[in-house]
Amino acid sequence: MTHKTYSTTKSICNDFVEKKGIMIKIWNLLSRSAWILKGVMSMNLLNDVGFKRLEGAMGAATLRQQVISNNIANADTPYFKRSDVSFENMLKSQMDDSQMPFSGKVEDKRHFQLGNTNSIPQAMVTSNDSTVMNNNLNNVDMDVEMSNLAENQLRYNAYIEQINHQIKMMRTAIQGGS
Amino acid sequence: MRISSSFDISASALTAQRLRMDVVSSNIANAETTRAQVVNGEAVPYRRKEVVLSTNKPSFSDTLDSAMNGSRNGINGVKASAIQEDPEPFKLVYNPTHPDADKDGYVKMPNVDNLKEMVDMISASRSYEANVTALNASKAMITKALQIGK
Repeated sequence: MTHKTYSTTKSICNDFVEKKGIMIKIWNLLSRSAWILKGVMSMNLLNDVGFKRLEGAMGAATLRQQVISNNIANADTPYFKRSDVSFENMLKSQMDDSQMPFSGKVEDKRHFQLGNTNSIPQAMVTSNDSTVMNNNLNNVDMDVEMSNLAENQLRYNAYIEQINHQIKMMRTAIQGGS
Repeated sequence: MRISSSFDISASALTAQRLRMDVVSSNIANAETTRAQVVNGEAVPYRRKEVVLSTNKPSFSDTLDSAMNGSRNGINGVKASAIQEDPEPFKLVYNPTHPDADKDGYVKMPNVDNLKEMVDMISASRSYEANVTALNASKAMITKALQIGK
């Protein structure tokens, strides 16, 4: 009876040890795959600041297209004043600021951001109320609007080419160059 | 910010300029009309009409959008707010045989000036072309954006 109990206990223990081994193996496998997954996630898959800047620039170009369309649409409206979108200058000044050799640590939202911010400025619509072009106090200059339209279109196309290029590079990297 | 809102802006201007064109056509067609309407039992000649353009008021969704995002202010296109009559006096033409001549032989002719109409017509036509150009530019941009990642 005692012997039988002993052997049963032993077999249960062996069983447990064996199961524990399998469990440890599974755990190791899981943790290793989690580690690989973490590596993949921390890789900048089209999430780096350059791509974000391109996104912001495309948004600004879309907004500028609307603003120029509006200026052209209101070219014959009395008292209308033209508007403009500023984004590129703001981005440039922010990028120049981020060339500082050190960056401040922000621990409180009231802190000033020093150095590399990686944030994208918001495109702003500004209205030009100070000039007069026509007798009806409208200040839309059709030539200026048309050249702005062409420039904005080229800019937009350039952004899209750049985005496509980045996506293509990432695809090449994912497929191992095949 | 919808993707097609620059279409809407250009389209509103196309509508407004087309209306201007219609009014110019009506003015030129009625340049000799001496009985356009009857006021107090008396026939009155045609009065020249003009389109009044004004910026479009933002719709509810635009107002909500700008309140939430704070970016879009007053980008709503154009609308023809009124068609108003030109208050200039009628031209008096001496033509005693005309059925609408008064007792001195003068006929009140419409205050339509063909020169003004021509200028207005060219202006409307050119504005229409400019808006078509802007619309095509927006369309080309959106078509290009649809090819991202291809």
